[in-house]
Amino acid sequence: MKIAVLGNVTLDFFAQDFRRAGHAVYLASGFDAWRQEALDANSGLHSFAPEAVMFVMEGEDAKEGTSLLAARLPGARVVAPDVAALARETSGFWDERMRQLAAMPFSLRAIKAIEDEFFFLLDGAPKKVLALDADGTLWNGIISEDGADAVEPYVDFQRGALALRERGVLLVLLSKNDPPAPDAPITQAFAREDMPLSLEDFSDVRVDWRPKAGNLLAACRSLNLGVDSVVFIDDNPFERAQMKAHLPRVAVPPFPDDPAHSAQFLRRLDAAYFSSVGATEEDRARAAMYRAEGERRDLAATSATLDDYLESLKLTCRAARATEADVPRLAQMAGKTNQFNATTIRRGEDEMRALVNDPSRRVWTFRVNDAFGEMGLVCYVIADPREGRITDFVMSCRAMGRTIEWFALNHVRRELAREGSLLREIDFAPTAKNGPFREFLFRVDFSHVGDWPTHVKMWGCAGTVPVEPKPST
Amino acid sequence: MDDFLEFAAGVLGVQRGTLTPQTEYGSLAEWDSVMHLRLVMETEARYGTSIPLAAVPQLRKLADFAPYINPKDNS
Repeated sequence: MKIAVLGNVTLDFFAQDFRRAGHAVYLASGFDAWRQEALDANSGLHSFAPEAVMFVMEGEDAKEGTSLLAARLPGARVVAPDVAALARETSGFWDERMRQLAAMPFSLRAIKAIEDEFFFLLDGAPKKVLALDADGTLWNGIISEDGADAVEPYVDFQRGALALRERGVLLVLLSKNDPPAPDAPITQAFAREDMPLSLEDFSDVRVDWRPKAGNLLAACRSLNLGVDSVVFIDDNPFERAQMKAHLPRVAVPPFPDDPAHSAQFLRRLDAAYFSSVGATEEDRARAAMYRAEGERRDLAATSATLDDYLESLKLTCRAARATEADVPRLAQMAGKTNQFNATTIRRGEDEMRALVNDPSRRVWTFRVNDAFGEMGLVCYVIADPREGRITDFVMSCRAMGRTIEWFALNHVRRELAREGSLLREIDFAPTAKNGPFREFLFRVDFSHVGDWPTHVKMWGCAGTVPVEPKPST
Repeated sequence: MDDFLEFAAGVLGVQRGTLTPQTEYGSLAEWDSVMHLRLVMETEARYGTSIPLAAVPQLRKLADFAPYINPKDNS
């Protein structure tokens, strides 16, 4: 795409990024250069004939300039990311050093946020569906960890979603949680009186542990709409990236770092995507027509790109033997983690410290970082090498879906083998909440003995395991 | 430092082999003043450090970044 980058700050950083992404870029530098170039019909800007203009104004209203540029460049879409709003929604937005050194006050995070906002607004075709995550998006907290009663609803955000529904926007719920049985946390959470949204407000509810892209496709089929009519909102950058990678035609705007701004964020979404909802029936017909072809492409993309996608995440998983310094975090995980937890044994700091220092036991920690940043210690495994037995296997729900568990399992197998031991058993105690760990065990090439699915030990370890993250070297 | 050179090559968009600890700011077409500041910010993000304003002009060679790179646990 031919993009002109204009504004009142140094813009070279944006130009660099766009060029690297394969766009042709025109950069107007110098004080008020954008105005002069817009007014001069023989300027470089007019010769360049941009298809899109990114107009970045810091500390000034961009409205007048946007109108001028739009009038002078009728062949271009002029988009002015709202710098002040993004600054409120993005932590670490300003970098005063850069203001002094480069006449550009933005941090790397800010640059990324402005670029994301630009492409998000540029793609602001009318949409009909708002697909919403639950934990961290509709409320503060994780219902399967904290309990349905303990989470705090984002009331303004939910009311905003409800208002969109009343105007005809279809709401879809996409949540990784146990399915909505009568006693399930998701059902209980939406039944709360202080929760503005109820489950019945959603035209389609997909709550399970499967990837959200596949669930969204299924929801779109049942609603008879194409995925290109969907805006997907999720506080988790991993889920957003996964959705973008698998269903590139779904609009996936960035979510504010501080959920206090999420209601305001929803209003901006409304202006960008839903302002024409209900205006024409043609929109609906067109979406249905494109659906079949589009979904085939999406499905192909979904199955073909998972490995590439994990590769592109630059996921690194670092294994280490636990030390005393890890004890508080290990005890915290033991106390809080329910979903990917083999036995849900709640070990306190003293017990954890004893295990870390016990020469007959092994405690491994797994730290992860990816393209989104450092996640820290998100998984640990405790084993008894003499018995070839894993007694504890715990991973934070934040880290699920990245195949880290396979890396951890393989690491433990290798380390035990190095000591002359063979991994033979994994202790497992099913609970109402550790379904994700049970699903993992089903995929491990173990055969099991005992009264499955009550407390069992699994025996025999052979064969290969699926894709695992590459360890860093 | 090897890890940093590889990282810097990625930021600058050059082949890993073109960089040594003695490679200087301005010696490569790709390493201009804007890219220099990007390298500073990317280094901070990658290594979790903060480079003070006053120190930025002192960063002339890649080796000068050494105090700010603290490789993460790779065990």
